[in-house]
Amino acid sequence: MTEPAEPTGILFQQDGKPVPLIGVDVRADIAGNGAKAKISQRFINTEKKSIEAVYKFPLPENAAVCGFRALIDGRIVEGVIEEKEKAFEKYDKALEEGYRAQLLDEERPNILTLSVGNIQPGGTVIIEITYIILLEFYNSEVRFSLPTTISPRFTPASQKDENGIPVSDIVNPPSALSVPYGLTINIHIHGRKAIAAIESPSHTINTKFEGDDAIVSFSSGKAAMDRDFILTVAYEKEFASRAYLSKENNETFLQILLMPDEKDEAGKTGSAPQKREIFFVLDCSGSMQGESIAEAKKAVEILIRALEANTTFNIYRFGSGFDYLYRRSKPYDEKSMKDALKYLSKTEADKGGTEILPVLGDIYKTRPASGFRRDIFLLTDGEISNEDDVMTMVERHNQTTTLSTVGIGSGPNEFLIRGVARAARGSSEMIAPKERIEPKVLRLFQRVMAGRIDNLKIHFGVRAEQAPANPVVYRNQGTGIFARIKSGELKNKSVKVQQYNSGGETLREWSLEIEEVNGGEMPLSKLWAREKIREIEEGGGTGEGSRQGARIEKRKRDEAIEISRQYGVISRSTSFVGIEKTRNAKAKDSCMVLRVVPTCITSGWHGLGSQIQFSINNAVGFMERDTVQYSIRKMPDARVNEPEDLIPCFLRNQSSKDVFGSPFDATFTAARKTLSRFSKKDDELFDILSLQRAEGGFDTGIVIENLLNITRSGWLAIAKRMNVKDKAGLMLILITSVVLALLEEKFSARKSEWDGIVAKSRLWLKKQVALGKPTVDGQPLEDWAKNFVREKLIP
Amino acid sequence: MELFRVISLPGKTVLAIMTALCYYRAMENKKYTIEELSELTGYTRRTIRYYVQEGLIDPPAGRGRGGFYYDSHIQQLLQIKSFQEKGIGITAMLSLMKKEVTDPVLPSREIMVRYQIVPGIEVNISREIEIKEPKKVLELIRVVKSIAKGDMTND
Repeated sequence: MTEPAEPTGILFQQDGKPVPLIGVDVRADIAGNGAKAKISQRFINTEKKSIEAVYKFPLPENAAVCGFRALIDGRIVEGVIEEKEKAFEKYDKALEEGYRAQLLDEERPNILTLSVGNIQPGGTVIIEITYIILLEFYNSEVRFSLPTTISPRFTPASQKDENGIPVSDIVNPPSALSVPYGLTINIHIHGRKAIAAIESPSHTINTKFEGDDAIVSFSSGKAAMDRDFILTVAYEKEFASRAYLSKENNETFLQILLMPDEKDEAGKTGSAPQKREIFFVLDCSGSMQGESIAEAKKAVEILIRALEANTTFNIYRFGSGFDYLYRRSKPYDEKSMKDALKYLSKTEADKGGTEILPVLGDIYKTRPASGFRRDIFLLTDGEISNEDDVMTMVERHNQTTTLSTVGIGSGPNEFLIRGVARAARGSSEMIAPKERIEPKVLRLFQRVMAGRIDNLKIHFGVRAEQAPANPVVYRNQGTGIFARIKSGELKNKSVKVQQYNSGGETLREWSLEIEEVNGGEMPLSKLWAREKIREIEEGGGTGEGSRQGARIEKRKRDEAIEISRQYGVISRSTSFVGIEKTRNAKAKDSCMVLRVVPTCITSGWHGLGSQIQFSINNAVGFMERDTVQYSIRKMPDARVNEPEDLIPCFLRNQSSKDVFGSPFDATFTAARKTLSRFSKKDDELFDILSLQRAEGGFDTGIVIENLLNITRSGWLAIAKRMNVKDKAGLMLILITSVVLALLEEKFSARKSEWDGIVAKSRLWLKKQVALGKPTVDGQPLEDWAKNFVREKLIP
Repeated sequence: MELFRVISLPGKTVLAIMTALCYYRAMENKKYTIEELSELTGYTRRTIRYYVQEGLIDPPAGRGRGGFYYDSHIQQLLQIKSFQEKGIGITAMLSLMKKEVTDPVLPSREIMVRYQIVPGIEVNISREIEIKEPKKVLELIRVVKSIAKGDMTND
């Protein structure tokens, strides 16, 4: 049977069927570290038969999806939450009877399936999905992330079907090298005066200002849906720990935002032992080919160089199978560091599938040595479908081992990356391909090394249902804790949060004034519900087969369904269903054809270059170039004669009056900083850091010699002027003190990126100075080095 | 019922699965809605729709979603269930089916001859069986027709 003639201008799937989805638009409002987003998907049926369109799409894994409606011929059909199978029955029955219906299922917290049934020939349906979210926040920065495509997930052979349906079919949409629909965005960031910078490492963006808002859109208008859209907003002020309260329908909700920093330490150390055993686990499966594996190798190299002397470590690589650097982890020294770097240089993404369980199982089968704290750093794109199994495994070992994750690539599986870190009580970082990997990996490493902050008790003064019940927080990383107070009144004007050690001693304490807010657009009830549902869903397995286990599972599921329905937030056990049961919504018969919308292969996936992507998509005229651009709010007029390549592209195209106004002076440095953070060019700072030795101390190198305009014989000449008790290691002491002075002088603005790495060199130098009392021309070495660097850096 | 036995070859589980899935078509005239099918087999409505979409079970008779199901559908679903209980997943069943369709030794599952008995009742017979046993097939159709029309005297 042949298909009816199709109209021109529509792209077809590989099987020759038209794609009914023609565009996606996202409108989001960001206020501080919260956001509300509305996703609109427009479907058109260009065929002569009625169709059922099915579209799998991604969302941020912690999004509280709380709105679902359809716009059909000017009418609005609101969706309601139902138990998942019941929702399907209603949807299916409505279609059977010839009505129009829509269904939204949550397959994973970050994968949804939309079914739009009975789109009439020539008909248009717009689906609107709303979610609210607590954004990821660090110090003064928030990260808004919008995934656009689902990278194919690897399903291990051992994974069982879910309700008789293969998991690969549940989570994987069909994928294509290009798709005919694109993405438009309109992101409003409120409180423009508080904003220091707005950046996107993933897309070329335009920023304009209206009233109190900064509004971000794509410079090209529309972008291909082949990578996550990432927007970073830096505020003038750092986030501090806060407590908010809102009253909704006779219930009270609290949101506690914790942002621990060094000041919170009560002068006592945590219970974590000093010695560390660190494992780096590197995903070398096929999906990591190309940019991802290169980034991951670089990240591990940096971390290896940052290790401290009393550490043992090992590296694992995995795919379908796994291998390791050493059978048992070894103490970190110059030799093992070199072994590790050599091993890394020979690493490729050539190991097939993504079997995470066996490699973690191999690490967990040995207990950490006595007195050692064990940390695992897992670097992966997380493209697997057995997230729950991995979470269950790491959760079982989270008392002895903290696992932290680094998500890499254009479209990593955020649910796996964040969920596994949550279950293992670790921390995580997501890194987009155009972002500098070093500062983020180091940021993660430093906060994990500072130790996890758990055993927290929140004193509400009244019975409260807290979610998460047992939170873990890290230094300089924001964490949200929510509570519902159903009955009784909250009399306290503040809440006290305390961290205890195993001996009951208080390690940290926060006393937070409670600010009452109007939930309004971003109700705390929905954020609480999302967190509570997640905690129930991620609550670990109860043992297969046992009757008691099944009862517990059912009770948990019922609880999630109840919360989901009560607060209108979707869960894995519920769905949104919308039905239009009016006479004019009824079709002549229930016969329709299925059209499954393909999603675009993620940029860089399996090494698929963006170049191919561009050439294909360019033909349809909306793809943007694969070059990284930035948008920064504030640019002074004083420096408009900067080399043009330093000025963000969108600014070059705009009238300077709009952007280069005088109120925005004094922030040019911030703009420059931002550019350099994303620059993929060689970075002098990291070239210097790569000269650090395992035990501490720096060797000289071209980068240092160029910056200080010094030759090898120049070093020798200085060494001759040096006076030290023991001449052995003299050169190393000299160079190290000069390098540390150079970092302080030249890279002070980026101190957070290098401070943790050079900690061991600083200690090492201190020891050498105490022992040898070195001087140059009679001046103490460190004072001399400071002056020497200052003089050399004067142009 | 000899014509409709499961065709199996010694030692070839694969073939047994395939023949069971593709050619086991009992001719019953009792009709079931999808709700009833779901209740009888324990599969959810969603899973049944998925199996139809993937070709694991026959599509319902009639137009669109409102079609009805026969005992043959129940048999097919129970057969799938028994494979699942033996640890054979749907992906494995589907890949076996694909292999089967392209295997030149066996007849393709598409080659089924459909006889309309009365409006709403059809009999599907494997082409291979029809070629091998044409007389028996004609006889069977005649008997079924007479049953459907209420004439039981042929028995």
